[in-house]
Amino acid sequence: MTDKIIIKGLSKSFGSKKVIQELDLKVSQGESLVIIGGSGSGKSVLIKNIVGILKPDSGSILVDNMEMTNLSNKEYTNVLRKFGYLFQGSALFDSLPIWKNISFMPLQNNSLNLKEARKLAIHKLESVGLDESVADLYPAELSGGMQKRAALARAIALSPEIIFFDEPTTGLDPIMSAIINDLIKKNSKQLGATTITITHDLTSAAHIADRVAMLYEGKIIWDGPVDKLHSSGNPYVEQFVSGSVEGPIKIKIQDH
Amino acid sequence: MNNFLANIGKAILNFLASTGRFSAFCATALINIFRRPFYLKPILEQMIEIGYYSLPVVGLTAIFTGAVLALQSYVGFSRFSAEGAIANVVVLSITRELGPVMAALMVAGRVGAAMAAEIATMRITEQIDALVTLSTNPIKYLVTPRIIAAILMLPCLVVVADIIGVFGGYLISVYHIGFSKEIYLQNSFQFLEKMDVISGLIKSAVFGFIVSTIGCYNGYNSAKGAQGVGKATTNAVVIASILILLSNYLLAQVFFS
Repeated sequence: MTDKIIIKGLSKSFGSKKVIQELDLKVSQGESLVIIGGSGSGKSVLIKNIVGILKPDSGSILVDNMEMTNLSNKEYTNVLRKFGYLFQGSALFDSLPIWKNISFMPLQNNSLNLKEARKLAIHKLESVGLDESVADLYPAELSGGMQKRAALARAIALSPEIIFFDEPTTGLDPIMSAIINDLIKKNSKQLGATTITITHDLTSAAHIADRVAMLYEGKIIWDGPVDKLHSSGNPYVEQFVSGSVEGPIKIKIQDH
Repeated sequence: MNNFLANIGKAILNFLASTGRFSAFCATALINIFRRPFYLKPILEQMIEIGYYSLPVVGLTAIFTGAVLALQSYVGFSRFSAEGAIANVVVLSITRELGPVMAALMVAGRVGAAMAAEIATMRITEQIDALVTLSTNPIKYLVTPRIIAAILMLPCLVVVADIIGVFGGYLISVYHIGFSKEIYLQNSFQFLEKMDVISGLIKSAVFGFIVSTIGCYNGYNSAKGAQGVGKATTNAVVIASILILLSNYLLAQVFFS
């Protein structure tokens, strides 16, 4: 299989705090990679670097063999069309109704007129199990689970090749989490998309992942197929998976 | 002693760094005025928000400012029998200084704070990151329309403030002090020059730039959490108000020296 994303020697710090250190990672075409790791381990920072929301301090990120770290503005705008991004808090624009949220990009670059854009939005709402009645509501009028689904519809609106899911099930009840997991799986398969999901929800990971990687102190310390997750032989992964207080991962309680 | 010097140095370096960041932010926002795509609808929405919805507060401020000005001038001027100059003092003070400055300060409190709070909330709920991933430049989409709208609408508000302010002075002078209507109006406009009004309008365009850029910049760089949004809003109003008063003095030097 060809590599869709290749990351080499990626580092990112905020002030004196090194969040990502010399990280290497490859994701194959059509693969679903789940990155697990504790809170504050740099999972979000990692995918925000890949998308270009954050600029890495050093290292290389290749997407379809194109270097992401030194693109011109125009090239970057074009590359972004390949990406879909589901944010942790949904990040729907609360000044716009749901359908304009979903069709935001085609409406901004005038690639669709209003009627076509609305049709696209309703079609995408259906593919996340919502119907037309939601289209004219504003994000604040929806429940958390519905917001998440609307945000998913926005992420997949232009059939992206690569989709990032940032904690897709955080803050949802177990049933809604299962629905979101199913929707993520179904839509990624339909689009044939390569996906990177960040989570610390192991049920979700088991459901979505082809491969799992664990991030700890800014590095990938283990990665392997999802069925090896519970027999990894890696003490860090074993501690994380079993959720025990004892083990090599030390949480600095006084920091919180 | 060393520690003391180090702190001063640190403060100066911080100030220079944030001035640099702010300048770069303004430059990006201004360059995007001329770059496609043009976001006309956000500009119109902001013009209505800044211009139309600020009318009541600016109007009220202006009428009371004009009224109190006439009242106090009367008290002072009657001590040396110069009541005839009241109309002149009112119209010159309002058009040159009080109209633009009062309107700008009220807009800083109303609109600058709202800009900071809205953009800061978008920052902490990742809506600004979402704009980036939807290949929309957030500065172009959020900041540029606000700057354009503020620069265009503040002079309009100041025209209204000038008229209402002078009218406030007229009301007090005619109905409270007992001037004749005709003589008061004649006195008002006899010595008024075009430059008195125009200088006020130019100043107000500068104030519009200050209010919008400071509001947006503070919101855009907001720290996380409710406290971050609160601090961004406070900074937006305080810094904009100080810069309005400072630049007002500097511009007055330029225009009338």
